[in-house]
Amino acid sequence: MTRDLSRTGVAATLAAALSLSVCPPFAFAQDIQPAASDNTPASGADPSGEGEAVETGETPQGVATPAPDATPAAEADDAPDANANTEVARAPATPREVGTDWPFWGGGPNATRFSPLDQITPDNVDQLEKVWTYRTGDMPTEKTEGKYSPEGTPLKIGDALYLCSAMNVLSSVDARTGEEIWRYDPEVAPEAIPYGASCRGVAYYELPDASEDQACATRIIEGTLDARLIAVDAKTGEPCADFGDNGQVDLWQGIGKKVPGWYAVTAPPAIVRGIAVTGAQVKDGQAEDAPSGVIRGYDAVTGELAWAWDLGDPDITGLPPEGETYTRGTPNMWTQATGDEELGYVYLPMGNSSVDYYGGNRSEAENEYATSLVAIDVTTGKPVWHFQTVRYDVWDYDLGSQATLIDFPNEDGGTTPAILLPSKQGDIYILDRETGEPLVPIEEIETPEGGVEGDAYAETQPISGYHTLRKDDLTEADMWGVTPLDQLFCRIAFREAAYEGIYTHPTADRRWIQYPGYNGGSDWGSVAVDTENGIIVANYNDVPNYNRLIPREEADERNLKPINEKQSESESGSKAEGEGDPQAGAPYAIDVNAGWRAPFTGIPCKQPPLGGIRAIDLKTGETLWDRPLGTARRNGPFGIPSFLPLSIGTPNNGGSVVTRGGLVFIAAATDNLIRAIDLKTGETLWSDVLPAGGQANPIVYEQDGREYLVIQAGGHHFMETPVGDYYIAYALPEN
Amino acid sequence: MTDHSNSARRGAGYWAAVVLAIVLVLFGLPILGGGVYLAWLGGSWYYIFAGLGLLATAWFLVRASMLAVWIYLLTFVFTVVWAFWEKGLDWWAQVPRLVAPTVILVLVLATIPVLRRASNSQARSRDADHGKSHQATESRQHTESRRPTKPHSTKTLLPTAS
Repeated sequence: MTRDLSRTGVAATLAAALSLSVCPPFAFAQDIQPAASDNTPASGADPSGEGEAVETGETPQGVATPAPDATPAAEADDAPDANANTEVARAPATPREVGTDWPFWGGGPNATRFSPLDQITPDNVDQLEKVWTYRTGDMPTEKTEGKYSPEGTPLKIGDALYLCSAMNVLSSVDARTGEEIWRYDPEVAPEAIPYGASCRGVAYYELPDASEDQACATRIIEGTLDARLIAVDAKTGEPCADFGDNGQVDLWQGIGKKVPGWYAVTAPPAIVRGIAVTGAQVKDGQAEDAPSGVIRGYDAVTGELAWAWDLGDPDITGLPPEGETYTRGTPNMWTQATGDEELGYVYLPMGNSSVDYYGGNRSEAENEYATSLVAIDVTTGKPVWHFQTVRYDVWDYDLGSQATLIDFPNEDGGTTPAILLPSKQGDIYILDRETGEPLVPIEEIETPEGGVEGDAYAETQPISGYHTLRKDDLTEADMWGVTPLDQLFCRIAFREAAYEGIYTHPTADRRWIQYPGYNGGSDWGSVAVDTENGIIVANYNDVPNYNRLIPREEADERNLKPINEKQSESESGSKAEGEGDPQAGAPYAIDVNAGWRAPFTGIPCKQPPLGGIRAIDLKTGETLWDRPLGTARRNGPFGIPSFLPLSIGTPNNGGSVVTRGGLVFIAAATDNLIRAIDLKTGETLWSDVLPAGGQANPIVYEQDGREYLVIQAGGHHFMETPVGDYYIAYALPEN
Repeated sequence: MTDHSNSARRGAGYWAAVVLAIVLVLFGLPILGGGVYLAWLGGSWYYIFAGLGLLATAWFLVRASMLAVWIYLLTFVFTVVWAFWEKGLDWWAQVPRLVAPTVILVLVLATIPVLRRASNSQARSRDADHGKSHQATESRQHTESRRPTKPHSTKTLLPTAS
């Protein structure tokens, strides 16, 4: 009898286990930016059908005026609140190219993430072997447990790699052997961690007029979690004495009351014409009265503030007036900007105001610039044009993907200098680099009715007629689970929620479904563009969020407090972004169920695939191939891995590299694999298991005649992959 | 029910079937309840039928009746048709729709020997109670002669389900 019972029990467990087998743990990367201050677009509807590249009064400069000489002129003044001298920008320099080197976060100066190397090809990629491993030594401590998401991509210039760890420890590593050359620890305090400890990379700058043995003739510049800009000598790792205050600049200046963890830098600055441009991450969902989203340009040699762009106060060009701060709570830029050395512009993918899901208190300026790509002239610090991708953004659809400079084929058979912008809602826009005018059709779609703010919402939204990564609207049949019972639960949840497709407005009386969720579409990994074959490679997420606005009384009952009012560390634990975020100042807090995970099983309510990778014809915007990205090997219900090497499509964060050799290298998914994909077919030709999560962009470079692939295996707290401190290099065996 | 068929249902195999029935009720009740709610919300009606099918299967398992198998088979076929109608050959989508029901199918089929013996036993009891036809007598004698031990011994009635 006992045998019978146990058999039944085993069978039932098997049933459960089989069904459970592929539920990807779902964590969303943090780079979903602020839930907080909302920049509310003033009116909603957009008049023209041509999208909106709006001139802001500055005449676009075809070629910016070069600075008269190399020495930074501005810094003559001592007055701290004087207007910044706007002529510090230098002459256009010839940027280093990608190939042997990987000199920028996005590869070459155009941020294409394309490498012209072709030693590794589809025919020999299965021979790739691990050639060295470097460990930064930066692992979570008791205080920082559960908060690490390094997301790091190294640079490679000359014979060395330059990289940063989760807590901003800088190191230089031999490109051939992986041995450490130098290391510099800026000693960032654990309290400075905002959403997660991340350092997506560093920037490299070479003084145009220095002698080789001059200290800091070549330097590495990094933005830190505690909002400093740090410059060290690329050869020695020593702080640059001539930069700011002995090698560092305090970005908290002009921001207001310093609250550790609220204002942090996680991306490398973009250095254009000798100006290092940086924004910062403002921790989502806290309060409308939050640090400003001001964008600032600093002289890359002296660290002097060259200019500041405060969209809430165009009169401010340097530091704010004595006793004041930059306009609080305005849209910020937490992701990577792109520099245009030739035009002297920097292109900023902007996020949302500091309260994401409610826009009633946003200013007109916030509504104008939120969730837009903004072009700033680095020689003046003034915006030249901007293109808004979401109006009155109440979905946390901030632009997370770095924009890529391309030459876009036009009708006359030639090309137009253009900029390609992927987005979280999936649309890919292509704009004229100089004017911001769309080079592809922009369609206006009507948004669904409903939501707590009624008429305040934008009636229409600009979607791309060129390409979107977005899939069809969800249906009840798309709900998932392990057994019919939990699938039924998700189906009920679907029917109970408000949902009318993309841009369903936020509700408080019941849940609403946001699809795509705030992790994209495309996020900070951005896309790669094979400019020679005209192919875009985009990895994307395919996951909804299941949200509800929480009325203020209820939020108070739940004791949801913003970061500047929290009593202790324990109150600000590591929870998913948006999960009970206070949104102080707004009439509602927000509860985001990121990934729409069912209770008990933790399985996403939407069926797989939850992420994919796609090749797109650059000229026409047509899909060439589209496949799920990620296997089920590490995923399972209740967090138990299933070890099934079946392709399923998992959430992913991080981007790809495309090579002339015809391969796409990407990790990103939650299966801890780094893989090589055939650019022509989308087939995975090679993969290797990483010792930790691969949520980072890889790089490809050449050293001593050998092509190397390097990826960080750092893991990610919200993607729920194991954390590590590895940088791992692969190459073909030496013959 | 006569005493004969009652005692026919006291074996270990029968209790396994009862445990299965309990499992089916544990799934079937919320599926039926949730299914009614889902239909009320404008959703699929499938779960109402699935829930009823599970509960009916459980009922007849407890009664050690072969009807349990037929009812579950019907439920299963209905499920397969519905699953393919909803999602076709999308295999990941079919996991929640088909895997657990298939496991249940295997378990239900495994109770067939129990249910058949119980059915046979019921039939014999009925015949014994309702009239001693020559055939019935002969068949009883036949079965009795085949079973040297006590006619209603649970041991011999049990299938090799244990």
